[in-house]
Order: sequence, then C-alpha cells, then structure tokens
Amino acid sequence: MANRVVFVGVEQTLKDLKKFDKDAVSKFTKTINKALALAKTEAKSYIPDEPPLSGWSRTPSANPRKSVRNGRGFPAWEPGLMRAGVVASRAQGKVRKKDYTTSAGALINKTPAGVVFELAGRKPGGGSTASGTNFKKVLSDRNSSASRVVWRAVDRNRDKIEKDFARALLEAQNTLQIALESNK
Amino acid sequence: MAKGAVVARIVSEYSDKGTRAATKDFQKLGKDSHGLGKQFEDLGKKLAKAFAVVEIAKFAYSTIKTAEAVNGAFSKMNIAFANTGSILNSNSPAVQSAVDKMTSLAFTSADTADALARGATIFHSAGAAMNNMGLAADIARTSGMSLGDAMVLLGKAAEGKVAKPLAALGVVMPKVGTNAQKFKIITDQLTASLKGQAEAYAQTHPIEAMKAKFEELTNSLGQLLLPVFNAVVKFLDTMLIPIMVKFINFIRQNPKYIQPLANVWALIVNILAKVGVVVLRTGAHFAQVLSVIAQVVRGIGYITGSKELKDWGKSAADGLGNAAKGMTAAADKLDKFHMNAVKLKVTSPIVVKSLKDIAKQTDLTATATGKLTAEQIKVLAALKDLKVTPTTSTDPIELEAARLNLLKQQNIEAQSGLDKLIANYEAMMKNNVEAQRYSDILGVISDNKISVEEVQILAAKWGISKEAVVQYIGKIFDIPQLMDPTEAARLGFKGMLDLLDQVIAKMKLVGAGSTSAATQTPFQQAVTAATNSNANKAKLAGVDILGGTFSGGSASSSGYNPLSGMLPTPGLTPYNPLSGMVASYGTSQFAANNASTTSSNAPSTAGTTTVNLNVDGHTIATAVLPSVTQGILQNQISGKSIVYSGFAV
Repeated sequence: MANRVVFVGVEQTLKDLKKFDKDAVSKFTKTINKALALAKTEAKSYIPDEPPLSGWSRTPSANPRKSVRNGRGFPAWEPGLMRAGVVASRAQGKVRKKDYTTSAGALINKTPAGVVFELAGRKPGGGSTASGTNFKKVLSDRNSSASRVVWRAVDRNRDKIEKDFARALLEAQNTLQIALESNK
Repeated sequence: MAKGAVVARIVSEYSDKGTRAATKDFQKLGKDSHGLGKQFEDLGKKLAKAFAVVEIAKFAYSTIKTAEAVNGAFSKMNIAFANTGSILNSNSPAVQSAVDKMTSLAFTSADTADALARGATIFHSAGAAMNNMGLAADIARTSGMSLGDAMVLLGKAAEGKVAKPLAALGVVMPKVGTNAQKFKIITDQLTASLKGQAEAYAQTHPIEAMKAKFEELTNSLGQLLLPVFNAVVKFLDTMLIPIMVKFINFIRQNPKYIQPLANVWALIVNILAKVGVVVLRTGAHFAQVLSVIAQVVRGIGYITGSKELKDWGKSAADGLGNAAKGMTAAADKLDKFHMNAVKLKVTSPIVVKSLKDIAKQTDLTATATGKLTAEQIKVLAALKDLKVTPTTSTDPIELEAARLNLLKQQNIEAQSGLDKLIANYEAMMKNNVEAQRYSDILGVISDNKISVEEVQILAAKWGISKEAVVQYIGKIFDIPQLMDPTEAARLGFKGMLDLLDQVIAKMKLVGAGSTSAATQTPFQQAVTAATNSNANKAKLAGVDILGGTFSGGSASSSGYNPLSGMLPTPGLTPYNPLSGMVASYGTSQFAANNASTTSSNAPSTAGTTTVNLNVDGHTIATAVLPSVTQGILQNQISGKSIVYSGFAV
C-alpha cells in the first residue's frame, strides 16, 4: 500500500463551497458516487450464483450449533442477499490510528457469508481444523485468493477513483476559489 | 454498520476528525507520562506539529522576553545616566556591582536598572542615584513599595519635599539649612532607622530571592539566545517554512530516508523528554539539546541540499552551545545561592518552612527524574504505537502542515503539479477513448460500409450524437464532407450547380435530340414546356440555342433533351461530392426520383469513376447520378429539404 493518496480539505472545501454553489457540490458528489458505483457493481459481479463449495448451504441452518456465530450457525450462501450487502459509502467512519486518516470513499461487504467469501484463506497456513484447512484450500483453488469481492474491486479501481476524486476535488476547490474571489 | 463487515477503503481523507484524534492521543500521551510533566506535554504537542525549530524559539521565548525587558531597563538607565553627563553605564563595574548587590537583596536586574534611571533623573546625578540605592532598598522593603518608587521618594526629599510614605516612616523635614543639608539629615535618619531591612527581607524571603536569581538566570539565557532568536525570526519568515515544505516533498520522493529520519525524530523527542525534567532542576542542558536539534536541522540541510539550512543549523548550534555554557555558569550561581539559603534554616522558622517546601519540591523533581527512564520507555513505546515518528507521505502531521502551508502561501507549485497530473491523466484517458473508437470503426468498416444502424450503435456506445459520429469518422478518414453535414450539404449543392453549368455548356455543344414527353424526366419536361410556351417563344425569338435560332412558329415536335450525350464525356467528369464513400440518404423522395430515372436516358459510364450511392438499401450507379442530382436540385428549388440520415464508406 505504498504511496497511498491521502486527500486533505475535502470536508472543508465542500462545506465552504456549499455556501456559494450547491450545484458544484452536487457535481462533485455525483462524480464520486459514479466512480464508487462502478466499483460496487464490479464487486457484486465477483459473487457467483453458485456456492463456491458444494456443501455450502443455500439456506440458513435450521438447527445451528450454538457455538457457531452465537447460535446462528454458518452463514448461508444467498447470492442476492450477499450482493445487496455490497455497498459503497462515503461516510468518514473511524479514524485510522496508523495515519489519522478517515475514509472518504469505501466499499463495504456487509453480509456474513460475503465476509467469509471475501476473507477466507487470507491468513497464511492452514485452518484450525482439518475441514477448515480444506475449506480454505478448495475455496482458493476454485476462486481467486483471499480478498475476493470488495477488496478485489478496490484494488482494480483504486487508481481511477483516486484520480477522479482528485480531479473533482481540484475542480471544487477552483470553483470555491473563484467564488471567494468574486465575493471579496 | 454490520459487525464484522469488511470495509475496503478506497479514498483516504485527512480531515479535522483525524486532527482531533491525533490531538487526543497526544494529550493522553502527556497524561501518561507523569514524570515528564506539563513541559513535555506541551513539547509533545508542539513537536507533533512538525515544526520543532519553531517550537524551540517559542520555548526560549520567555527567557528572551525577560532579556528584552532587562535590556529595555538598562537602556533607559544608560540614557538617564548620559543625560546627567555621567560616564557610567550598564557596562561599568560600579553599576554591575550595584546590580549584583541588589540581586542578592532579591531585587531583579530590571528593578535595579529602573530605580537607577529614575534616581539619575530626579537627582540629576548618576552618582547620587548609585549612592542612594542601598537606602532606597531599605525603604522599599520596609514600606512594601518598589525600588523605583523608593528612589523617587528620596529624590523628592532631596528637593525639600517629604512625601507621605516617608513621613509615615518618621521623617521630618528640617526647617533650616539648604536642601542638601536637609537631605543629608533625612538620609542619616532613615539609614539609622532602616539599616539592614533589605538584607533581612532577603534572608527571610528566600523564595523571593530565589525568584530574583531565577530571573537573572533567565536573563542570562535570554541574552545569549537573543541573537539566535532574532536569526530564527528572520529564518522562519524567509527560509524555514519553504525549506520544510521542500523537505517534506523530498521525503515523499525518497522514502528510503524515512526510517533514518524517523529514528532521529524519535531521538529528538526522547532527548526533549529528558530535558523537560532536567530544565526543572538547572536548565543548563537545555541549550545543549537545542544545539543537538540544530545539528539535526543542519543534517536535514545536507540531505535536501539547502545551503541556508546548513548554515543556519551551524550558526544556531554554535550559538546554542554558548548558551549552554552560560546556563551552566548561571546554574552554578544558583547552587551557591541555594547553599547560602540552607545555612539560614537554623535562624528562622519561616526559612525552615520555606526550605522544607523547596526540598519537598526538589525531592519530587528528583523522584520524577528517577522515573524518567521507565517513563521514557513508555513514551517511546506509545510513540511507536501511534506511529507519530515517521515522516512518511501519509503522515497526517506533515500533511496537515503541508496543507496549511499550501493554503497560507497559495502554493502554486503544488497546484501546478496536480494540474499536470490531472492533465496527464486526461490525456491518457483521451488516448484510450481514441484507441477504443478507432478499434470500433475498424470493426464496422470490415465490410467497407457503415450503415445507419452501425452509426446508431456507435453513437450509443460512444455516448455522442449520430451527427457527431459521422463527423468523427470524417476526421479519422480525412473526409472533409463528412466532418460537418451542413458543410457536406453546402458542397453537394454547389457541386450540383456546377454540374448544371456543365449541362448548359454541353447544351451549346450538342445538338437537340428527339425525346418524347413520355420518356422525359420532369426536369426535361419543364424545360421543354418552357421553351415551347407561346410566351417564351417570343422572348426566345432570335436567341441562338443549341446552334439554332428560335422562330415564332409552332412548337417543334422534336423535343429538347438536355441530357442527351452529356455524360460521360472525356475530360468532363461530373462533380461527385461523395466520391469514395457511400451516402445513405433515407429519403423516400430521393428514392422516388431515383426510381423515375429511365435507363434510356442513362449514358454509358465507361471510363469514369464508379460511385455507389446506397439509398435506403438501393445502390445507385454513377450513370444515373445526373438524374438524381436533378431531383435533389428540384427539391431544393421547390423548398424541400434534403434529409441526411447517415453516411458510409
């Protein structure tokens, strides 16, 4: 993740710009939303209709084991629900302690099954059980390695979205600058 | 948000929220490091702003301010002395001795200088002011007034006036004698009654005395730092901030230096943490540390290749090194004073209590110092966890500093860089679009034809209008007529007029043929009707048409065929505005005109360029082009428009 782009002044620019030109704010928002929507659509397309493993139930467990997910059992493979659980967000969210940045645009994979499909096998090595190890292996063999949905889409689209974002932000800043100068 | 959801961040923003979190962490860090006290907390916050050198100046500000105050007082005193014609000044040993003596009596240098200045003015003599300093000190301590005010009271007494504070001390102005004699009597009285008050005060108020010593210490440091400070102010304005930005940019471009500099940064924080406590005791090492920091700055100067930074670092290091020596000397003085104060503890309960307080505070300080190593480790660990040390491109502190600097200075360079980045990106995107479109065009012309449907498909795919697609294709294949339908129509119409000119010219060359009305085109019929009408016969009488002369007789049975033998004629190629391409005209009128063209009138096309006109799927040969153009012309003349719906190659 070297050379990541961190934007500054987005919130303040939009806040100030809103006082002068709401259309410009809308344009900025539209640009960003459009870019995020494309990534979201792509992420959804990575969720196959069929379960990646034949034994992955399509329906929630009738009598799940209490030890699994607080009694809810292993999440069912419901592609429609999983795709609906992939959303784009521009909420700032938590501050990352590492660099004190917040999110200005993100994809979120919400559903439990989606999360399992996204992350299973990310940690190197086998699983804690034999079946877990097999699960990871088969899942990785039949699909790509871990980071299969939202992260995959993000990795593919990050550069473009960052550039779109930079361009839209610069445009908004220029608009604001013009507005400020004309209102001196 | 659902618990456990995967959040894949695409765009990161450093906003006010990040700043608040960083501030909070630094505050927590300060609270956690009890042994470091408020000094470190402040330093930590300030260092976090990544302007360590700026903070150095701020840290030394109080000492410099004191030095400025002292300098101001002595300056005032020097002027007052000079106005009396005295050769004494602040550098005179007698004055310095007086200042030292007054300091030992718990008067600050500024107080002493102020009193001497007032005394010189009111006595009109620097010597008189010097001579009365001791008495003024006793009066001040007895009456609780300032040294300067006491000196003014004595001055008034020298003029024969006894102010109320002096009267309260039992001073009675003699009724006889000169003012000088009266003043001597008064001072003798006061000396006898107040002698030793100032010394007693100093002995019974060690904290006040220590405060005066601290101020002297501060002044000593400030005097040494003042030139450095002046240099810093100038440096900040003109060099440091731009260079810091340059430095940050350098780090972004050379990430290999991040770790070494992060280590240096951590070292600075570590050292200052230690210094924060050490300063509480003697303050002597502070300037030495500043000197170290100056050396670091100097190192940064080497890295960035900035001569100004290197030079500043060197001079600052040297200056601060001298400051350290001064601090050490001042600290030695302070230690001596402290020892003298200890001797007094057996003589006064107040002194004992005061010294106990001091000792208690000293013990606390010493305890804190003893904990320092553990605290240091804790602080450093916390710093490491917080990742505050690296000066990476994602370091929010740097970014915030850079952002503020950008906003403040309207950093055009950065703006220009971003512009270029975006322009480059746009150019890249445009190239991609061009390449994709070219690929699309190659696909659709594989059959050497672009149909209306294909144009529509391209328009939908490219997100532009059909007309724009046609123009675009025109540009790609360098077909001017396609670049703009309006232009193509204009050129087409002009071509038709040229063709008619050729027709008329040909009419003069070719004799009239026999054509029945049934086989004439509407145009031919119109011409025939016009020439055969009675009204026109008169007008045309005597006019040489086609080599003959019209007579006013009845209409000839042999009709005029304007097209007979016209096409093709070697050397007379008809205008073909659409040469090299196929135009699809979706007009039924055009098709109808085409359909009305008879093959009997179609001349041979041998030896000419074959042009295919695709009209609603029907191919039209060059041979019938004249008829077609006539139809178009007639429609144009009659006010009907030609509808262009597409073009093909």
